[in-house]
Amino acid sequence: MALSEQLVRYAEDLARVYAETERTLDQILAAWVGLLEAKIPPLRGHAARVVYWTERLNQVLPAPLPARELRRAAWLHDIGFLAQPDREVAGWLAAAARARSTEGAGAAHLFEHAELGARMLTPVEAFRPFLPWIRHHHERWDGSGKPEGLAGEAIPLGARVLAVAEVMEFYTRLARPLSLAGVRKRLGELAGRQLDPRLVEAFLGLPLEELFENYRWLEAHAGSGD
Amino acid sequence: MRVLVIEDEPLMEDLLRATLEPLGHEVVYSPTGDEIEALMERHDPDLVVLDVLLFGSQSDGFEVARRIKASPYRDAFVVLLTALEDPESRAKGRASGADAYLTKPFSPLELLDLLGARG
Repeated sequence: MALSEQLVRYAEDLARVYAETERTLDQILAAWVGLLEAKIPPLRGHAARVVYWTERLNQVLPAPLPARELRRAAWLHDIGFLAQPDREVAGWLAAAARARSTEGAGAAHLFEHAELGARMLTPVEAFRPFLPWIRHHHERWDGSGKPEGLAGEAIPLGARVLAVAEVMEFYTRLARPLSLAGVRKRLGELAGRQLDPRLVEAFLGLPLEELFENYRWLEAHAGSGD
Repeated sequence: MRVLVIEDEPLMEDLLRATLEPLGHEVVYSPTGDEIEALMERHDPDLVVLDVLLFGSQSDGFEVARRIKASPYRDAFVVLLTALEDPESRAKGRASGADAYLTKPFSPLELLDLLGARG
């Protein structure tokens, strides 16, 4: 046996362990999201849809964020709701849906989950690079958001990306959703107030109608093997 | 866990050290198993990783394994490490009393699994 063969075997095992570790982290993360959605049914599918829109937006950024970190941040961005009373959270979400607004209608505590989530995830070292994105995903471009009232580019880019994706998700998933034309208009209104105007511009440049249909198809066929 | 590595190839020794020491195992090394009883007495290892073809030694790994299993240190877990894949060599490995038989190039994960199973 040539020693080079043995070294290759080591390299193969190293790659396997790396892949398994990453896959395990993602599986644990998915289990947490499953727990969140079981406890707070209005959140069912929300994280997956935010992942989808976040990834689409990231792909058209001039300097995209690291895809794995952004995907994990999107999965976990609302995990802090686990640290709040389930029924109250469901009530706040229902109130925001009734008000058809992402701008804070509902309850004073609605946005505390962002900071709670970042704090909950701190023990996981691999998650630390993206915890600021989770913590600040309810900041507003005009500085009137939570938890710190950061404004403009002081808000971490990942948090601004999540914010755009979450608005898109919110208005397309209401009981009476906005049309995509309506969503475009609403995103335009929020640009410069709640959302980073350049990100909104990039997002509106995406083929939203096609992407939305693709996602609905994927959702409808999830697990069917189609 | 204390691991005795008997291996005549220095790079293999380095690889085994690099595999085991970061996980907290203590590795002791010998290029030959000719004086295996003395080595076992001195180090009292939990596990012996044993190359079969030991260049420059009078005893091959099968013989060394057999002597370990005939000694007061027979409880040590013995892993034969060899490029010999033929059924006859495997049969000799079994007959030697060794607890496991890994063929080179071996998987370090497989070796670690054996250690995990050991304790």
